[in-house]
Amino acid sequence: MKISSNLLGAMVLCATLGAVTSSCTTTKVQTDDIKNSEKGGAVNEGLSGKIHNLFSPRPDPCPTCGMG
Amino acid sequence: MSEIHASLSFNLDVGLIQAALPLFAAEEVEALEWSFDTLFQQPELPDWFLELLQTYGDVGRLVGHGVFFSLFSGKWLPEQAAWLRELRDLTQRFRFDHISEHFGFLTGSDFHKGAPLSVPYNAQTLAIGRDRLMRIAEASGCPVGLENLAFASSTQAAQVHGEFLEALLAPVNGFVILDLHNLYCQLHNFGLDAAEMLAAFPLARVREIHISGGSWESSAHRPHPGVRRDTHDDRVPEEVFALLADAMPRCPNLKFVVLEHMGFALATEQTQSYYRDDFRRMRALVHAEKARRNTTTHSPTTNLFLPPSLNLGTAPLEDASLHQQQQILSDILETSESLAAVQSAIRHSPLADTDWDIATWDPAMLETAWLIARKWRDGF
Repeated sequence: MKISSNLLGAMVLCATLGAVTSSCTTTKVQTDDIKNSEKGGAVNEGLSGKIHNLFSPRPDPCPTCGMG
Repeated sequence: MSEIHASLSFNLDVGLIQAALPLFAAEEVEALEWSFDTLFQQPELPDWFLELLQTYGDVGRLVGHGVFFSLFSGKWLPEQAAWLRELRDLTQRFRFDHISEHFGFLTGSDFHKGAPLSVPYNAQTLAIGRDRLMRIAEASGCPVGLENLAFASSTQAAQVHGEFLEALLAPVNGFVILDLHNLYCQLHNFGLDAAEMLAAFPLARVREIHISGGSWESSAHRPHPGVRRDTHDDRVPEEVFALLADAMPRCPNLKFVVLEHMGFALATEQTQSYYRDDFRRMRALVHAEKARRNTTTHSPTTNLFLPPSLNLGTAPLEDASLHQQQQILSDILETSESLAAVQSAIRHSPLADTDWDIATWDPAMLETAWLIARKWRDGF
């Protein structure tokens, strides 16, 4: 089942940061991601790199809740 | 026949989110199961998580799975009333296709780190279970169901579990979650036959199937590898995949097949990869079953599991004697220093010569319950 690029992007962000606290909010993803999604591909290619990066978590804190 | 959805048990857990993200990105997750009451203490949930629940709920692909209601507590607890209020509120916000709970009663602080304990199968527990199920149905306004238990105290208790589930669920037209790893635990722990045990469940009531992995608990009363436990922290065993392939064609009202896994056990890239492999294998089996159904003449789905008009009493049913026995059993399990002490204390307790039927309790299972209870006592 397909979910929106913005939703997937927010999940990527929270998973990358290791933060699932209540203040994490849906984050807009890049325009290219949305375009890729609109092309209707089975996999949103614009997000694949971000998903891959999950395994190299960034130390930056969540921009909303401040947790890393 | 209903459409079957390959589903994930999903929640706010970093390991789970990381492991499942590629599945969401590839649009492979066909439905979600959410253990909603694990987040009752959270003052606020992330917007993205609410949007995810909304997305699946809006198309009838969201199911709720309770953990903490404690269906068979002899005493009606304030926490149960609060649980129902929270559920009522949640069902106003999200469209759940159904709501389910676990069989048994809770003694520990965290159900999923331990094991729920069963109750005697008698008229009193049957009446309490039916009353509580009707209250869940009334609060949620959707189909309600129960999951078969992994833990049983004796062979006989395991063998009659399906029959008791049918008696519990029939008045509310409820459904069964057939947890195949729970069944696998009982097959192993009591040396039972898979075909006979499957046939002992009301398979026409199965609307959801769970698969998961588990672990072994060593025991002086069992040869290696010991007692099988439903801990959701490892890969799905081959035997459970075989049970899935065998069970699906026998469950005409099956709608959701769910992979369960604890997030803490998905901390490495390898475990996350295994998790996705297990999901994709499960999904392939589900799609094979869907294809089989499409090429076979079947009778249409006859049970949507909608509850009948409910006739609830004003006060929830309680049983003071059952409550006292549950308190005593919990206390013995949590405070005894050895299995021998547990056995002695139970023999000299009010549980003796009652429907708890303690003479039939398997020492290895009692030992496992005692070890789990001690972990609860120590705060895990």
